[in-house]
Amino acid sequence: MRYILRDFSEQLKNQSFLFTNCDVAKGNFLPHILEEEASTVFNTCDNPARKNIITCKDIHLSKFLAEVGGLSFDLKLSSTFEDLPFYIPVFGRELTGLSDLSNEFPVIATSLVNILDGITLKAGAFHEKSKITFRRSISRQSFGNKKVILFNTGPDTLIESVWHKRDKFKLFDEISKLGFYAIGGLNFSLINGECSLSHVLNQKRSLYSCYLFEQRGSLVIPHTYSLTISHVKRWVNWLRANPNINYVTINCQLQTSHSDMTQLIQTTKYLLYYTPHVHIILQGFQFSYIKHFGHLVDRLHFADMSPFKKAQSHQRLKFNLKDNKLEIIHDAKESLTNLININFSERYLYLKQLRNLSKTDPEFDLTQKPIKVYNFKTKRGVLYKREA
Amino acid sequence: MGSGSNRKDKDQPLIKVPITDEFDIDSIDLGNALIDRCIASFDVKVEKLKFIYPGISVELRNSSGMYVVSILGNDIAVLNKKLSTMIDECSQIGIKYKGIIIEESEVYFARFLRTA
Repeated sequence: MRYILRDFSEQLKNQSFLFTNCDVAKGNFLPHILEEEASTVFNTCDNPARKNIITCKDIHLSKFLAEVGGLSFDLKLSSTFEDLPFYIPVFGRELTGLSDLSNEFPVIATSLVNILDGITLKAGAFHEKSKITFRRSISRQSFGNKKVILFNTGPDTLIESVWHKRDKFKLFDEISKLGFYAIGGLNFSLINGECSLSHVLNQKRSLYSCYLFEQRGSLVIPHTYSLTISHVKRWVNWLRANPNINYVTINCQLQTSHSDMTQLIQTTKYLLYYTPHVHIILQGFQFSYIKHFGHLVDRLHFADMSPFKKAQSHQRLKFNLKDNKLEIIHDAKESLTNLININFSERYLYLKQLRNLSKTDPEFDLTQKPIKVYNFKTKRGVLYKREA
Repeated sequence: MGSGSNRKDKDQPLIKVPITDEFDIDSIDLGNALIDRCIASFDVKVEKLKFIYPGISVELRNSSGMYVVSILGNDIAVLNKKLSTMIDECSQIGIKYKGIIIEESEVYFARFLRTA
C-alpha cells in the first residue's frame, strides 16, 4: 500500500511563480526557514489586510516576530507527565454528566471555546467581541475528582483575539488560575499552500503560548501540528532538545478528506518514530484510520468529543463487538447525563478494540522509516511513504 | 484551528498588530481600529423579486456616496450611511465584501462576507 502525503509536483513545475512570490524562497529567513520550504506555497503572500495569516511581506512583520522572540525554536520547556490514559473524553460548554462519569476516565478535557466568551456568530460569520469574558460554569470545583486538560482550540477568530488581548485581559494569568491539570498550546492554524513563513510563525506562536503558561506555573502540552516534512523535522529537533517534554498534542479537527488524513498520519508517525520518548494526544481523530499506526498506537492518546455531541443530539452509541462497529441509536428518553456516560463508555470500548486490531494488523511493518524525505535536487519523492 | 487544506468561510479573522513600541502606539492603534470597523459580515434585507433566488451573487456599487446592492445591473437595496462609510474605509486597506442572496424564515437577505 502506498500513501502520499501531498504531491506538489504541479506547483513545483512553475518555479518562477513560487520563487518570486514568497520571500522565504529568497533565503530571507535563513537559518530558521529553508528556501525550499517555499515550494509548498501556492497562494499569494500579498496580504495587506492581514487576513488569516501574517505573511513574509507584512510591513509589521518585525513586531510579530519580536513578540515571540523570533523564529528560532529555542524555547526551553520542562512539563513532564506521568502516564495519561489512552482515551480522554472531551466535554463541551457545560460539564453535564461529569460528576457521574465512570472512574475509567480519570482525565477529561475541554477546549478554549468552551471556557471563553469572546466571539459571536452573526450574519454567517464569527465576529470578534470587544471584551473577552470567562464562562461561569468552568471552575476548579466543577471538575470534581477529575484531572481536566484545557486544549486551546477554537475558531481562528477567537484564537487570534485571545492572543492579541492576552495582556489587556490578563488571560494567561486567569486561565492558569482555573486549576486545569494541563494546558495545551494555542492552536494557530496551518493551512496547505499558504506562506511558509506564516506556518513557522504560527508554530512558534503556539510554542510561545506554552512558554507563557509554563511561566505561570501550569503544566503544558505543546501543539506540534505539521503539514510538511520540514515542519515535523523542526518539532523533532525541538523535542530532542527538550527531553522533559513527553506529551504533545495535535488538533485533527480540520482533517476531513482522505488526503488530509494521510498527511496527518505520516507526520504523526514520523514524530513518533524519531522521538521515542514522546506520546501524542490526537484531538478529534477519525478512529477509522487508527489501524494505520500499528504498534505505534501504544504512544497515542485520543481526546474525543464525539460522544458528547451525539448525546446532545439524543443519539446513543452502542459498540457491536461482533462486527467491530459502533452503532448509533436515536434515544429521546434517556437523560443527557446518562447518554453522555453511556456514549463515552461505548466509544472507549470501540477504541480499545481498534487499538488491539491496529497492533495485530499484519500489513504494518514498523521496521521501515515512515517517510521518505523530498529531494529538492532531483525533485523526486515528494513526501512519499514506503511501498508495502 | 488546527491544520488542513481549507479554511472555513465563517472563520476568517484579520490579524491585528501587536503594540511593542511606545513610539508607534498611535499609528498601530489607528490601523487596528480600522480592522475592528471592517466587520466580518453583514446582512441587508432585499425584496423577493422574480429574478432573485438564494445562492445568486450580488455586487456592491457606489452611487453618489452611498452603496447599493445590485444584481445584473438592477439595484435591489441601499446600504445605510454607516455601512457605506465602512465599505469606503475598508476598501482603502484592500478589504472588500462578497455577497450572495440567502433566505431565512422566508425573507431574502443579501449576505456579505469580508474578503481581502
